[in-house]
Amino acid sequence: MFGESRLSDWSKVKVELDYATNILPYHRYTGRWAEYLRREEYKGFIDRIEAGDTLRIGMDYYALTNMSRVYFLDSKKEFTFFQSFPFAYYSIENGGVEVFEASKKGGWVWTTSTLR
Amino acid sequence: MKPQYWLIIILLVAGFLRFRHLSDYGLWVDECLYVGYVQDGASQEHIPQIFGYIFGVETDLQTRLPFAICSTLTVLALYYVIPNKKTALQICAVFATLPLFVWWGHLARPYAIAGLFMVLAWRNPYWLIPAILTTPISLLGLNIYDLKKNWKVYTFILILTIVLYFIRSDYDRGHWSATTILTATRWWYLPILGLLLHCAKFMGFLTEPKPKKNVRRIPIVGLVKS
Repeated sequence: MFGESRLSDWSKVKVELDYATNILPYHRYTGRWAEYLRREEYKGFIDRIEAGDTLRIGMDYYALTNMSRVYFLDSKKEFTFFQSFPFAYYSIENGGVEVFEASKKGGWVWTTSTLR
Repeated sequence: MKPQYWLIIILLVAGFLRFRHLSDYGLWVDECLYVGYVQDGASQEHIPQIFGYIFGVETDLQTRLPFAICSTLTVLALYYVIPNKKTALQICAVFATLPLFVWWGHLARPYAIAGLFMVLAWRNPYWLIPAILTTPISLLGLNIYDLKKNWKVYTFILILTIVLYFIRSDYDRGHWSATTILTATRWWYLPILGLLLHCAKFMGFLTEPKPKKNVRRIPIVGLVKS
């Protein structure tokens, strides 16, 4: 890890994702494409959640940067979110990729440990 | 110890630091873009694309290998272009171990390849052409002492840069802003390398013995003791 470059281990993600914070490495290691979990795609993501979809999301270090943390604009909420998943936070910060499932009813569920 | 032995030690250290974690982590997002350039073609990073065709981009090791090789070879190039070998060894040691050069020298980004050509351009300005074909940032490491002497070559290189990166509309300049240039460490690889070469030039001025003045011998005829 140096400067602006953060390397994350996308090769360990075996499941199909709907959204990813870094789709190019996800595509390289799985051959699949996902939507970007970024500020620009915010509306599409929320619309799908509101429609009742359960979305699977891959998060790497970019989930902690301004680029992709649009879903936690309120810093308090963001703190609570990562406080709920301290191991996921630790993993993401140290080059891991964690998978979450998000739905309107179920909220955010950390699934990487079961899906790997 | 002979300077050549020191050079071998520095070269081994540089190689070790650059090759040891070559495939430990997955590719960074910009490295994935480079893989895309090799697979689909692009109007930038021309020379790295050629390396990509030769070495392949199927595995992470293959993708990063040419960059790590070029970054390691830059140590040899520095030793070659700096005339004062004591200064050259000091500069080589800094280049071999400074984290900025170690990190960006092992990722599949164009800076390591451009750096090698840019250093060689300090001996022969024509090497700046492949450096420019790799990335236009190479211009920031110019040998400014050589501009007057080889102005025709540099004018050609400047025109080449303008045509390649500013007139051709499909080159992506969207990420070029003052903030990104100042905060992104990758943009500093070539300017700092150029700065090292300028330091070497300056240190060379200080340590090299001054050339003796060419005193013309004038025959003195009829020197009379007073």
